Amino acid sequence: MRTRSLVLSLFGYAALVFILAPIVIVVIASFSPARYMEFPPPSLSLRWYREVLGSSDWLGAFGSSIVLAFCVATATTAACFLAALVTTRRRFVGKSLLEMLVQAPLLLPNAALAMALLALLVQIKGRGTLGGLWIAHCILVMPFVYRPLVNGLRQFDLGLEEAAMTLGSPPLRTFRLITLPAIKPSLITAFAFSFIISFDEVTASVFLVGVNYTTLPVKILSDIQSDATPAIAAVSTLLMLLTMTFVTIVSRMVGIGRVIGSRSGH
Amino acid sequence: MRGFELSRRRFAGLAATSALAMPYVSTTALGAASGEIIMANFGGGPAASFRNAYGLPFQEETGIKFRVIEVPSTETALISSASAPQYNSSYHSFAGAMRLYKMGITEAIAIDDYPELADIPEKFLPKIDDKHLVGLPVHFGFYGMCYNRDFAKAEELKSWNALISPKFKQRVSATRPTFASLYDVPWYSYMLTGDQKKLDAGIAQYRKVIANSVTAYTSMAQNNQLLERGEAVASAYYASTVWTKKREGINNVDVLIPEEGALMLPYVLVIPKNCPWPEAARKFLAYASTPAPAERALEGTGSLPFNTKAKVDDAMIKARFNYTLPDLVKQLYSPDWAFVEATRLDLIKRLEAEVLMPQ
Amino acid sequence: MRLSRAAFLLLLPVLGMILSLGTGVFALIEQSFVGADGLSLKAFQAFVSRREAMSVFLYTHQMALLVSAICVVVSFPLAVFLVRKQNQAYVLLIMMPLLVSIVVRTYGWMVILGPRGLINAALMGAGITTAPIRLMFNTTGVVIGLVHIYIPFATLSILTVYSKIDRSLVDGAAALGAGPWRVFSRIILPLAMPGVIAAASIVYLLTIGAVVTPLLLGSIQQMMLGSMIYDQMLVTFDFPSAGSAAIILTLSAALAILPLQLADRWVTRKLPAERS
Repeated sequence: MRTRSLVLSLFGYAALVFILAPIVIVVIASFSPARYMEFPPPSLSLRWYREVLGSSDWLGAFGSSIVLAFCVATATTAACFLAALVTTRRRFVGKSLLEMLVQAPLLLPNAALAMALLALLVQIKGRGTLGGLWIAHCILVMPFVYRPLVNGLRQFDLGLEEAAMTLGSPPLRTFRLITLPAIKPSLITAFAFSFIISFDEVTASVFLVGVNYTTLPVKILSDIQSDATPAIAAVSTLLMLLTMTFVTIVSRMVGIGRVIGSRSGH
Repeated sequence: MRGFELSRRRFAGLAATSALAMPYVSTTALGAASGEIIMANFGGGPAASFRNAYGLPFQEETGIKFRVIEVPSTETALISSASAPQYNSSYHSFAGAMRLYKMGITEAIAIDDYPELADIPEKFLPKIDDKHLVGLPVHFGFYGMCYNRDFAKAEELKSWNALISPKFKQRVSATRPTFASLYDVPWYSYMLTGDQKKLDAGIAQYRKVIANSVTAYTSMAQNNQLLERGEAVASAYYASTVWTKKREGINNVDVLIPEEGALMLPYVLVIPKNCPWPEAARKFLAYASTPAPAERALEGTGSLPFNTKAKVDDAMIKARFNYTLPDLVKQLYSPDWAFVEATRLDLIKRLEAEVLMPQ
Repeated sequence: MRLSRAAFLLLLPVLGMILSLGTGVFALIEQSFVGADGLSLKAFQAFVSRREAMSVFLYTHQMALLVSAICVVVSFPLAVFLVRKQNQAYVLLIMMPLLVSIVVRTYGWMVILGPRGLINAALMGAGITTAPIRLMFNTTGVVIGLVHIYIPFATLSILTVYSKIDRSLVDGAAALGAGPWRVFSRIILPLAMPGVIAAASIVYLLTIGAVVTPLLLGSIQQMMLGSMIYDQMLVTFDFPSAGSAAIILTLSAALAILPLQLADRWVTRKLPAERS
């Protein structure tokens, strides 16, 4: 038993090292003083952090991306949650078709999806606006959100709900006190996924941004056409820092501290 | 506890509502931009150079507001906004501008509208017919032999054939078919046969370079990293990257022109069809054709002016490119870009058939 | 079996998104297949008749199979490890690569895997090899890069399901004398199966559509169809070629994950939650 745990732990840490190794190098290289990334950097400097944080272009794109990702994550999680409630509890004609169509954005190769979304936004005159990107991103992240929610709801014991209702609890109250807490991990996974995917999306967004509205990944992509300065590494580092801070604060505030394994009995 | 529950729910509700409503608010708040020049340009160096050397002085002189939007690809920017043009000026390679014009996305430039064109040698005008151009030529760079001085010596790179020599096996880098079709293959074809149209020779040469490469690079950022770290020691590549590195005090990557010569890379400004405020766009192009902005642009990115009246600092050009401007012009080959553009799509497919087989 | 009005209302937002996508896809198909002389399958035929296009196509599916297999094998124990850790900071750590721009991430890989990178320096320094071994700019590099970036997707898919497995079943089986392997194969794995299937399908589809990683970590012989399509759209604006390639890729992807979807349905039927 103990050796198996040990093997598992070793494997886990090895996987973490694999996942984090290139990231650590990027973080270190972000402190290069030169205009080009160098590892190990000859000396440490905050030049690129000053550059990024002092530039309204960077900050603007950064802000746009955060607002967009938040709107996308909220809307898609809500929409897919409602749909998953129906598809996991009811059988109806066309259900398989619906589930397949929800996965469609994942089936379409990135570039094709990008063209389809561009065609859509041109039709509804949403190109280059936050609203247009919002619609496009909601479609893009839909499969990533729907799946964990369905899996979460499937494993949820409907008997609990029934028992509560039999005992006289009104449906909404049952939903809030029984259903919601039970699938919280799935909801949080779905939200986090959609937030990060939307935040990171670039292959489709390149076509969809306009002169007055751009996102951070598109700004990065534009910037690296001529060169990848350590500014990109600095942006990535700041992004990781910000995400970690954000998640820590939210988990303290809303109490999602133990989102995983809350029922695993350890 | 109960109060906390409530406020938490109210917070969630508020957040959700604002998240759903927000995009619509800002959609309506953003009006169509007008009354300014909006130029599409490549992010980083080119955009900054145009802002400082062309845009801001123009704004000062005419009072017309100027803005550069940095994009990953100016062609994509124009094509994806063709149905509702947002830019009124954009920066392209000769071949790119020819393609856009053919696709009906840009307007023809009337030679008579720009008297300064008289100061540009006629062979550098991308003509549609005697009176029209696909774009206004502003400056040029070149495709030279870029190399890492720590790992290769200039003497070893006297000929383009160094890129296919066993000595540099898996130590050079090359571009992919999409750009080789524009630059490498036309150049090798001309270099080997004296005729850019004899593509077979160029294709064979490119295939050998690819076979000798550590990798085929995808972006300039990637090839810069390869050359700086010495993962690749030499590459047929944009000389302007060496210029910007030297400007930053990085001297381990250099450029030279092998004995066969090198390819000239000319750039133009175009005006999208049906763009907002075309009169201002033409005014801006007229300004861009004068010597002054081209003189200023040189220092930033090493873009060499077409306008023969432009006064340039030849010592600086010599220091950063290793050649003076007249020296460069003498050694650079300017192909028939219309032919390059017309044959490009087929050429890409042929190149892919030659080099793309996995494993 | 008909939907009540309330249920239909709940589905409405998602239906709206699907319809919007449908509008866009329809326009794309129109762009790709309707030429000057009406509906034409020329682009399709052109694709199939190009030997290198077909070989890129096959390579893309091989990679998808390989990458999703590796991701599942790595992600399952990783998910178990993360659940045992009971610390969401670890979950957050595995998502970090998604926040780092691909171009600088590739720089990180170059420092580690490149011919002049850390691993090769260590190997040569220790006298194990005399010449650098190739760890990137070939298939190895692409696999490493894709597994690296898709592990969070696979791990989280498995983790959400695994963390909900009722421990009393596991403990009960163990108490009744089932060995660890039997507990795993008879109880844990079947119960975690929806997560494993979801992980495999997501990674398969993501790999099929990969654009940038194969370009940066592979060389030219590692071209994948996603990158080829992207080039055709962004660089050469050859929409008919891109459109037909995209449709072929989409259909083949759907076909490839069909067994997984069927398995998912079969597994779901064996799980208790769903009812009519």
